[in-house]
Amino acid sequence: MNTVSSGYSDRGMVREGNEDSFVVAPELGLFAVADGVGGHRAGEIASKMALDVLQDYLGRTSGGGEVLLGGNDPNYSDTANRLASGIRLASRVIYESAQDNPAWRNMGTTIVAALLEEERLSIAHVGDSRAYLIRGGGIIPLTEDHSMIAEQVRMGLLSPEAAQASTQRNIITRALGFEVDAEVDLCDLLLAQEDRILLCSDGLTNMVSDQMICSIALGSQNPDEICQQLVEEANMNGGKDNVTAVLIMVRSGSLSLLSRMLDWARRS
Amino acid sequence: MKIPKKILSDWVIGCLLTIVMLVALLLQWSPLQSLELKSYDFRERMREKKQSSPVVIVAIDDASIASMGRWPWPRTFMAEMIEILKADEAALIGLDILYTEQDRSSGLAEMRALREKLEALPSYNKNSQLSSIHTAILQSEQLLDNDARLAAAMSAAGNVLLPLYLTVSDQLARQESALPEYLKVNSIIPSASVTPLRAVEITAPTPEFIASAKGLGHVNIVTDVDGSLRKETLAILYQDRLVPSFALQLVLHYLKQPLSAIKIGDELSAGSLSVPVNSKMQMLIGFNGPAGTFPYYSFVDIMNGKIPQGTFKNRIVLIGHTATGIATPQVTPAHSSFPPVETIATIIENILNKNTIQRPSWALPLEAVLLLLAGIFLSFLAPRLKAGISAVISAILLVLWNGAAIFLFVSQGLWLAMAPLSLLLFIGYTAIATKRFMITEQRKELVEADSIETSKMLGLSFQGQGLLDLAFEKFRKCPVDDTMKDLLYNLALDFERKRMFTKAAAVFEHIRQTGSYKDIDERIGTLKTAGETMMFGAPGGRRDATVIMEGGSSKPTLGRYEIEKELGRGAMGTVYLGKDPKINRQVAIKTIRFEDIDPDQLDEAKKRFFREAEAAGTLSHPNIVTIYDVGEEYDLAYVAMELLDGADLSAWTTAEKRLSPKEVLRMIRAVADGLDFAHSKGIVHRDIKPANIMLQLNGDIKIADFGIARVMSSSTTQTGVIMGTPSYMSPEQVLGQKVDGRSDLFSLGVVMYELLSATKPFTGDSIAALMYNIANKQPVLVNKLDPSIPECCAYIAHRLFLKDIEKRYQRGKEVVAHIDLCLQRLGTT
Repeated sequence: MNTVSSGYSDRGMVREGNEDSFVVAPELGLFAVADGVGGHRAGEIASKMALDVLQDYLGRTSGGGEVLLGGNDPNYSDTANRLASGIRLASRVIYESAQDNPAWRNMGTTIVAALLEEERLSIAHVGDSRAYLIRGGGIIPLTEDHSMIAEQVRMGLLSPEAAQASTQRNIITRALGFEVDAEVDLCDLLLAQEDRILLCSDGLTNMVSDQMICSIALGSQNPDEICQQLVEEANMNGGKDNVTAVLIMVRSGSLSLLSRMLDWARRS
Repeated sequence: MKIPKKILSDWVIGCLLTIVMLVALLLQWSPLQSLELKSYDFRERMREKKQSSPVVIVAIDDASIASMGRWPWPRTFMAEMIEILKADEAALIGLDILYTEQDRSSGLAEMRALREKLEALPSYNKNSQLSSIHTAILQSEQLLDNDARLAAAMSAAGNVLLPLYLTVSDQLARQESALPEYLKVNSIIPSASVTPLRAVEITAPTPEFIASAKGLGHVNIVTDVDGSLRKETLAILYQDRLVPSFALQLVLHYLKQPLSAIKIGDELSAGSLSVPVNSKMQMLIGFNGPAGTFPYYSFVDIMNGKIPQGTFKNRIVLIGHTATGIATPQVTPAHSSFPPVETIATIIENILNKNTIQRPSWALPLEAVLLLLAGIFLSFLAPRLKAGISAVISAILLVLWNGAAIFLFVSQGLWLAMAPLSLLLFIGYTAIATKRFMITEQRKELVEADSIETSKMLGLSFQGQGLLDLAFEKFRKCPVDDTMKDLLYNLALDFERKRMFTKAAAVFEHIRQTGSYKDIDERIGTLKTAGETMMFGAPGGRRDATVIMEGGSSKPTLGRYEIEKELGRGAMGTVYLGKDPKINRQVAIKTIRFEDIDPDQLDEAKKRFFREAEAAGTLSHPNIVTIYDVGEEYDLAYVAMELLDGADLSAWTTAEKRLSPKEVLRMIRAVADGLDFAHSKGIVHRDIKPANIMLQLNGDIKIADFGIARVMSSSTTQTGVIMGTPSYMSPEQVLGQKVDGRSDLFSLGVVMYELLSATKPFTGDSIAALMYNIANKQPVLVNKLDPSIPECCAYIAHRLFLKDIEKRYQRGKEVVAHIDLCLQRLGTT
């Protein structure tokens, strides 16, 4: 599978530090964004630690024969399960090291991670960092925020309009490091030609509409450029939080014959 | 628990299975063949349908045996039967009984012997009585000569065919015996394209019968691997002639086709007749139903005239055994106990109605190609689909192919193999699904039953994060096996690198509990002799730092200094007691950790550090800590300096331990004096605070860390060491402006204010607030806080931290002068 990818992060216009972290590791097929929570730069440490642990775990287990933390969910691919296991591990590491270090008390982080294996992309997320699929000119959210507002909307307690206006948008209901075991949401998808996958922190999605994200993401063939433009757009709209974007682009004509056939079958 | 490193991937399994199945198909591996034959029989039974044919069977059945006596019967019975059939105008009679010997049962031999005795008598020719007896004997002889009787009946009928039996073997026929005369008319000269079965011996009826028969054909049967009869061998090679089968002969005579009309290729043809055959001249028999499908007439009923006239008219009549114990029933797809005579009837019907089963020449290539396609599906497509979907597709393929195979068999009599493809799809799918299931289960088992694995994983992750203590805690929970030893060993090395030697030793000890490993004994020894004093640097640094360790018992060194012990730890690094062996002078050695500095700025920071430290080294003043030497070894920078024996002033800033104003003045004076000297050389301290002012046991005051401190704290750090509270900073420092000696004097004022009142002049809830206050707020006079403080002290302090640089004391000397004045005033009052 031939993909190009890039990531870009900025502290925004208001915040003093950048608690977002990201990783773009095509050799592992790993792409992830984490948004740290916790005072005194602990948030930054948490987000960095989460991605370090995840990358380390996936690097160690890439040869197969891995041990899955938190069991195997047969509804998802092996790749997805491996990714979830790495995220659970990261959560534990953050939780236990925070127990050990008072300065790190209560640190945590959101995460959205994508693991690519041939044509199959597995997405895992915890918290309010999001993944989008941009396909055929449209933008499809792949994740559901684990935030209080989003859950209230899902439960029908709040209208989407009221949610937009809410001041409690920053309260998240799940994060790595808050509890021993993190509950990870998964999704598997088969990539098609020209697909673009965007992973981003809430600093982007709170500042830029999905439609705008879509048009920027389709506006260039260069992932570096797209990521920077997305961050710039967020900053121009106020940049109230750290902004991070990671983009994966499937090069056209890069799929194997078999996948092209499947792709064709799916479309026709 | 060991997990196989790489389990066979799906496509490897798929390809292997496909190859095995292809080879099995092409080599006709017998278990696969048996399975295929089962499916053949199943289809065969579905296809069975009664067909009209001119064949009727005269059965020597149980009823006939019961009423006409035990077999063998006198051959006259058969002669009578042939006469009856002839009278009813049967078209052809196939007598499926092989009379290979003369009949000896009737006493003919006795009669002949009697006659010969009679003829030998001397009175034989003269005695008419004897002559009449002789005639009577001759008549009896004729009556008793059953063979002659049967032969005569057959000759009279002129349409009786007899069987013969061939001994089939791969060995060459014995050529010494010439081809029997009768075979010359009852055989064909083979064409080159066939590879028929070969016979080495022939068992034929007696010459008398052969002479009276219309034709001969073999009744050999060839069964499949499972012992079942499915095909008829239409001709067998004997010497250089092909001997046609009994059934084929009957058909040819029925159709009045001479043997010479036969042509052999993919089909055996003669006139309008054509039969698909394989290279062994075999045709597949299409059975019409179980035994009894053809019309049977009991032998005894015919003899008793119970069968109406015309029943046999223009029919092919087969005479054969069906009676229990006499007939040798055959296993066929249609019936497990099928009378041989009905098999012959079926073959005749098949040939006449073109109702045979055919294995087309394109069948094998097609099966091979389909097998390959199925293999590709299994190997490459199925693993990418969800288990359910690939199961459904496999099932659909299975049903489609088998449906087609059944349809073609039943409607067209075409035999396509069902077993290989079905078996491949079934086994392949099962294998891949099982593999998936097993792996998933195995993983589950690993995870659920094995908190050890989890601990190991967590340990590794902690180690990766540099959290070595947590890592060791996790590793401790795992049993120490070989892989664990390796992990622990690496952890201990990490501890060593971070100069946490006791921890490293503890890890090595943990490994040693289960026996020695690599060089741990040696390492423990080294660590033990080095002991506690070996602690270089403070723990907690993230990046690896070089361990300074010499072998054996020799003391570690840093530069040219021998390290004796650790004195203490500071924000920047650790202070050791060292000795300069050259001049035997004890020195304090301060090591500086550059670990937290951003690697991009590291070179710049180091350069600055050495520049400043060297500049400070030129300062020689009683109130300034003398720097002897700066250096760098193993990535560890150090400063060798005057060894001090007191403590810094930070201990004297609390309300309980406040110093007297006089004492404070004396100290500030000393510092101001030292600062004046340094400033005059153009060197600014930049970090005057109680912690950097040392009070010796003899009461001397010395300023420490000239130049060094600020280099460290002003370098942007990567991991963000939390910046100390900037209580002593000057407004120009806070605002990031250019700094000169007067900034040090401002800081000195803050120190003085604090020493006098135990209260900091500038405070704030946050660093930002504090910095704002430093830049903008004027603190209350110190004697407002404590009236006992002399006014002149308050004045000096106040003048030191004026915001306006120009209004502040400009030189340390001015401070010294004012303090002297103040002291005088205090002394006088």
